[in-house]
Amino acid sequence: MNRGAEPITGSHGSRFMDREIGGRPIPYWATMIGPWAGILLFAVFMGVVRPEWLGIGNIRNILVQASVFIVLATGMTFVITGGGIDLSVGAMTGMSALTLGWLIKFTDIPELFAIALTFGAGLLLGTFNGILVTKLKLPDFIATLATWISYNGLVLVIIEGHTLFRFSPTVRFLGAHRLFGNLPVPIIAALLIALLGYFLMKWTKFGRYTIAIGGNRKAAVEAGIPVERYKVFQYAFNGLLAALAGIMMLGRLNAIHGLVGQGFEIHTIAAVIIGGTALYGGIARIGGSVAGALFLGLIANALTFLGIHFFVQYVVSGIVIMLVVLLYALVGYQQQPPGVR
Amino acid sequence: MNDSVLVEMHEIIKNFGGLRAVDSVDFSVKRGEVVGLLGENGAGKSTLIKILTGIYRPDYGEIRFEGKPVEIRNRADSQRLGIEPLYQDLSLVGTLDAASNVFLGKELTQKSLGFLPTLKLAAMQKEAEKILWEQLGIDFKNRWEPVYNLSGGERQAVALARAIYYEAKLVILDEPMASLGVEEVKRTLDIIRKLRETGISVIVISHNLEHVYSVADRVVVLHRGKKVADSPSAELTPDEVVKLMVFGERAKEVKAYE
Repeated sequence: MNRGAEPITGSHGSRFMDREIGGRPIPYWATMIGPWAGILLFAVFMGVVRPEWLGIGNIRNILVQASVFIVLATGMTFVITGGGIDLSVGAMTGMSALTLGWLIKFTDIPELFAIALTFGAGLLLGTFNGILVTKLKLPDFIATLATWISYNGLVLVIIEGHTLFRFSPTVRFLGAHRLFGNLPVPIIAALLIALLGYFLMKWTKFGRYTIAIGGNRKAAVEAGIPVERYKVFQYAFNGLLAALAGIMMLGRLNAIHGLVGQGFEIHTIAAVIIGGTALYGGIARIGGSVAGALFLGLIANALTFLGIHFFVQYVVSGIVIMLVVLLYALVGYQQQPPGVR
Repeated sequence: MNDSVLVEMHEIIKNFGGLRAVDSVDFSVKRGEVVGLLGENGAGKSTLIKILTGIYRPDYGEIRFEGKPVEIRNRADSQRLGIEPLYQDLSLVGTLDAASNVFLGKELTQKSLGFLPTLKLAAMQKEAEKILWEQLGIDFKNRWEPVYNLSGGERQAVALARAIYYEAKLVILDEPMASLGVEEVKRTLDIIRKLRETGISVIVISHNLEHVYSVADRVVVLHRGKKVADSPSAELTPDEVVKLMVFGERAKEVKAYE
């Protein structure tokens, strides 16, 4: 399609942000609360079918399980909004958890220092992804596919099928501690990270340039934005949050084995897409990513609650993702803005 | 040297292999002047403009800006001089709103909490609306809309507001009316006149003589790399311009076709 030469319809071009049903535009806020409305509907449905599902204990359980994905989805929102994708995020989570476990079990360094080093490791892994896609100019998908496989392999090589378990309360703080009697720290951490993500996206050059790069990379270059540097920042930030997710996983499981983090990438990307962030970049929805992560968490928990086998959950999750994206298409919300980008 | 001359290109030559794309062309623009640059495809218009914006280096010739000889080696050099080309795709980020696009790459920031650089969203919004309204006369109802949702003319205004914010002295419009409806064309022409009022020079590249004639103070016609006409638009009829564009001469060959 010839940019800038698309036909003009009336006083406005064809629209993609105001989605229309039956000629009436859907207000912006409606698409923002869409995923949350889905959560509410689902919760009401489950509350009717199984009232005990809405117990405080179970809700807390759901939130704790979703917290890791809220953290990961926040980082992934930046990568996807910037026009990239990070398939290695689950593997980075596993690598980070393993780094922490290994440092605690096989070295004598202080625990807090080990946690700091773990964040450093995540940052390093993410930065490496960023360097692959900028300096070596590999496509985002290929670069992170390669690191996904190699990080996963590295975990298996190092841990050799063993499991490291039993960690101190300090190490488990971010993943399992409860504040004020009964409020799990991972829930607070996830909330803070989501707020941080929202703040960065809306109020800083990092967020603004991320949207610009994903929205129209050529225009970003022409505006003098150091595109490659900001791409690296996006991947590095994602790696840093993957490290936090790894630390949270280790705390929650109180163990680390070779499979921690596997499959997280798909779950995370699905959460981001369900949330309304444009898969091809340029539109960011941090709040939507949080909702997406919660929604997938709800479904998984509900299916377990209803006694449906673990494996079936994958099928159901897949169908839900499909339905949500179909729904977006139905209301005219295109995840790839056409023409001028 | 005339003080009111903003940019002066002298005996510019540019070769691509064996092809002489621009052949010893003199081209100048005065302050606050609207110059129509005309010519068929391959006449050398784009090459000449790309030399002015620093995308190509000339093989021979001199460029003077505000009376001083300058070397325009790249886009950054031309931007520093205040030369702002506006291409057909406008280089806007469709998913950002108007103000974000005006300030793209040059955001206003403040130190929050004493150390954290954050965007001054309200100030940028206000400034962008001021430029759009006061200097371009665009009443902006869709200020929060992603610019993709704006009309072609509104998008053009946003891109121009950006050029103004960058303190452009010379705006180059490449086929600005190509994809616009009738109303939109009128608005764009109004904007060009407003730019002239504020003292900004404009080069309009277009195939559409009617549009060029309604705003240009002077027309320059290129034919196969050579300048074949350079005169106030009042002194050259559109008919003559067409013949110059097609044949490179005003009358001679035309007879053969009549």
